[in-house]
Amino acid sequence: MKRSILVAACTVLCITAASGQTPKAEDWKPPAKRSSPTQGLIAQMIPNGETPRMADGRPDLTGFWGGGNVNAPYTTFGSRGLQYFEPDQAAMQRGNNWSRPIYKPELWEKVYDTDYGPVVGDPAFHCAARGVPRLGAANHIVATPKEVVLNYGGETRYIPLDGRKRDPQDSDYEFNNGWALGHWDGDALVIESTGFNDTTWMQWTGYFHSNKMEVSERYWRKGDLLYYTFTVNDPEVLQQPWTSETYVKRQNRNPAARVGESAPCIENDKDNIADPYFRG
Amino acid sequence: MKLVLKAVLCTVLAASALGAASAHHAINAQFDVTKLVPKEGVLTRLDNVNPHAYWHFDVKGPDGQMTNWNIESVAPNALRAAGISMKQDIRIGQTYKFQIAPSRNGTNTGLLLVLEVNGKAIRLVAE
Repeated sequence: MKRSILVAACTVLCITAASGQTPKAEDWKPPAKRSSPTQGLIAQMIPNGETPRMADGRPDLTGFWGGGNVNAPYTTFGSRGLQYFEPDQAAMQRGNNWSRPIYKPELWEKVYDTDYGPVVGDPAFHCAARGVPRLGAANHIVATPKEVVLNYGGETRYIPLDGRKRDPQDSDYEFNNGWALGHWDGDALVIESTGFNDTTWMQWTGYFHSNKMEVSERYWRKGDLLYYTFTVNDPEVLQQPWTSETYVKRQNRNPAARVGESAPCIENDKDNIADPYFRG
Repeated sequence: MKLVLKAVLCTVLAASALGAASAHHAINAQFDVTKLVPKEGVLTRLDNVNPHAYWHFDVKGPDGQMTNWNIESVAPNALRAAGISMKQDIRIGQTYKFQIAPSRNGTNTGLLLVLEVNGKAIRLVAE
């Protein structure tokens, strides 16, 4: 009996850890022990259609992507999102966040303050950049064998894929999105970023980070689905790396679809918020 | 009514999918979306900006007094998606009928839910 449990646990580990990427939908089996109510939901999403490939055989990530978030831990608007709660239920808004970064104990009070503080404490509320990894999966991707362009509507990242080496000075920069460097791990596009500032948040829930943060992202396309995973490594503030995953769906397939310019962002609501602690 | 709130958030989310999603806040923190208040007023100014457009209307109150209302709506992209042409359909100085979710703090603000354009009521937020 003990052996079968061991085998079961090992199978789950092998699927999630050894392959290092989101398990295939058809391979998914219920985990032996659920660590959160949503565990495995991402992998259960069944993709449709073939995965188009570029000339070099890698999956072609080009297209418009969005929606599809079932992963309550990752998104505010998940299956148990805050829209179902009344304004004063701040704790319940966060009840869906099963995947949380584990901060060092001396920072628990600070993260409680940034998390439960008024909405105006959120840098993004003032039209400031959200930064990586709060941007989430890209809304529009233009992929070529040598370079991938990620567009988030108003913000753009250029990911070199030409095999260049990391410039040691990259980590000295203080960027919202860091310096990105891409490579392929099998069918998964891996983006390693360094050189961040400490002013953005990792998520809307007050998750601050230091300027020593490093982020690893993974895009893995299967048919009309794009699985997105990020891992934040920030030993300055976190006890352990924090990983969260989600997926996005192929959106506009019209070949004539275009990306327009965004209207400017101007914060107008600050003085009109009746409940400054109702976040979202 | 919770459904309406959900729809509001979904619409805003959809609108911001390819627009600046910064400066976003929970609609319910500012507006009472359980209410639908009809208004009529003269458009005096339009700020067609992200993350929410702002419509300024001169509205005549029950006492005959004219007050300026600052009405928040979905983002520019969502207004276009709803079929409103800012250059053709919207005129400063023109009178519009509209319905809002009123502010929670009693100020002359609200969330634009329905706007009547060219005699047709356009629902900006799904029911």
